[in-house]
Amino acid sequence: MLLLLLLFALSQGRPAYEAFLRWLQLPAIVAVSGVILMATVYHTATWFRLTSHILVVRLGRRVVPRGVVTFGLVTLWLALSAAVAYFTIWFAR
Amino acid sequence: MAEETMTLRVARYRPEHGPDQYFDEFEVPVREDMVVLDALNHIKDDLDGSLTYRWSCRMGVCGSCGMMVNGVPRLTCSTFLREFDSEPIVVEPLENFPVIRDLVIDMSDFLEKLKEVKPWVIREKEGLVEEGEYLQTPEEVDTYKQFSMCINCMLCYSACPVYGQDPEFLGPAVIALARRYDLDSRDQGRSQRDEVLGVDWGIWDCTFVGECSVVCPKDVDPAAAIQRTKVSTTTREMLSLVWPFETRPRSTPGEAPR
Amino acid sequence: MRERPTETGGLSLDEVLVDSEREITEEKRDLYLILPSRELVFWALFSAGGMVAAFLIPINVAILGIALAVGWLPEDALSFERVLELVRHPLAKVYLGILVVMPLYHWAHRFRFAVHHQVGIHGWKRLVATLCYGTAVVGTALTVWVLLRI
Repeated sequence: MLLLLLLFALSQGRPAYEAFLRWLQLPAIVAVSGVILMATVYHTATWFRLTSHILVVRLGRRVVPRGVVTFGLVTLWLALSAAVAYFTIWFAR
Repeated sequence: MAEETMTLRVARYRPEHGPDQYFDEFEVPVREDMVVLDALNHIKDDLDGSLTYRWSCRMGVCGSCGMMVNGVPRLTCSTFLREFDSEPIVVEPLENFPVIRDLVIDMSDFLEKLKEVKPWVIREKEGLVEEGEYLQTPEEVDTYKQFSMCINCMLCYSACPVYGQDPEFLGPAVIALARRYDLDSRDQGRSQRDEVLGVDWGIWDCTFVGECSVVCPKDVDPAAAIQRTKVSTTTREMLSLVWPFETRPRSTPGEAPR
Repeated sequence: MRERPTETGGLSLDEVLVDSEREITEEKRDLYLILPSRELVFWALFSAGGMVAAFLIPINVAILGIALAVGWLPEDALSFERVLELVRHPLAKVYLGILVVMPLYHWAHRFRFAVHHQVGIHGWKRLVATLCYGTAVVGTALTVWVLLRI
């Protein structure tokens, strides 16, 4: 939702966009974002745990243990997050 | 030596005496390693012979003695009295099922649904006895073994909030058992079970609460069975849009599977 | 006991249900054939949306919601010119489209079941489903529109 608003502001031109960025930095909004961030991380953690129950990865005769699947998902998550951060913040500056 | 006792609060329902459920309290002498079922047997033997309940193997393999113990679905033969710090220990009939009498519930809904998914090996054409058995490798057994451990105790139905609200729901054990047969390399009946599983009150009613797997005394993990069925059904439907041919290899009697 | 089938093997749904006392009416059986694929689609969208949400949303919220305000971002990282440039790239539009749209369907499916199971409203199934998925569809349309405009 946040992104949709950002994109909309972007499409309205510089003043609208910069006003939106300022709005994002209001303390009340930051507080809400903090709560949302905790909620999404919790969602990610529980989602990965559930996925490890469902995902059966077979290597020849053996099955990958659940903990390893979770670990793999978390690693993938960190890698993707880093990539997103790179593109959002540093790429083509 | 003063004998240690514990108090059990047991739900009673005797339709010939009255329409309501009520509770009786019994003080039961305890031995070390005593289980709730032992206490119930003591009550029936020495205190109140009218108490009615199901039990059989008393070792956690028959699935008969499922009841609510302090609000949690348990096998009473595997629930030790020493687990409990406070008394009385409350014993009630398995939740989400109609009560016939005292601690005995009506399981016909479960049995009907179980029949619907055809929990047996289905062959397109039965082999002849002379041709020998359908062979199976240990790896092939491993694919479905976990789901074959179900003892039909129905604790998962008591734990499932969806079944509690929507009695149409097929339920965890039925779906897990259906999957057990779908995964069995000797079985050729998956499409027939798909008809039953793919309805709104089949696999799609499940919201992966996961309580069924938590209470399962045999670690069947029906929640995983259901979610994996959702995944495999979805992938199969998506793939069939581009490749409408059956892909799983079949085994015939006497032949080692490919 | 039923005889062991010889030529044709497996039994049809009808043959098993003859023994069953459960009332499966003709009406319901016709629904069997139509509805399954619909629930399947909703669930598939829910799953995909959940994957997208689990992997990509935390970092995006962290950057836009926290890092910006707290001053962890380099100067001009999110300047109008730079962001506009980035967003105009077709790959970026695809990425943003997926990032915004998929979680909407994840929310819709979850919310629909929460209304029925947690809040306890058991009727109005069609209405609740239409409102939930409808909202997601509207969100999809808005996102596509905005992305095309930039």
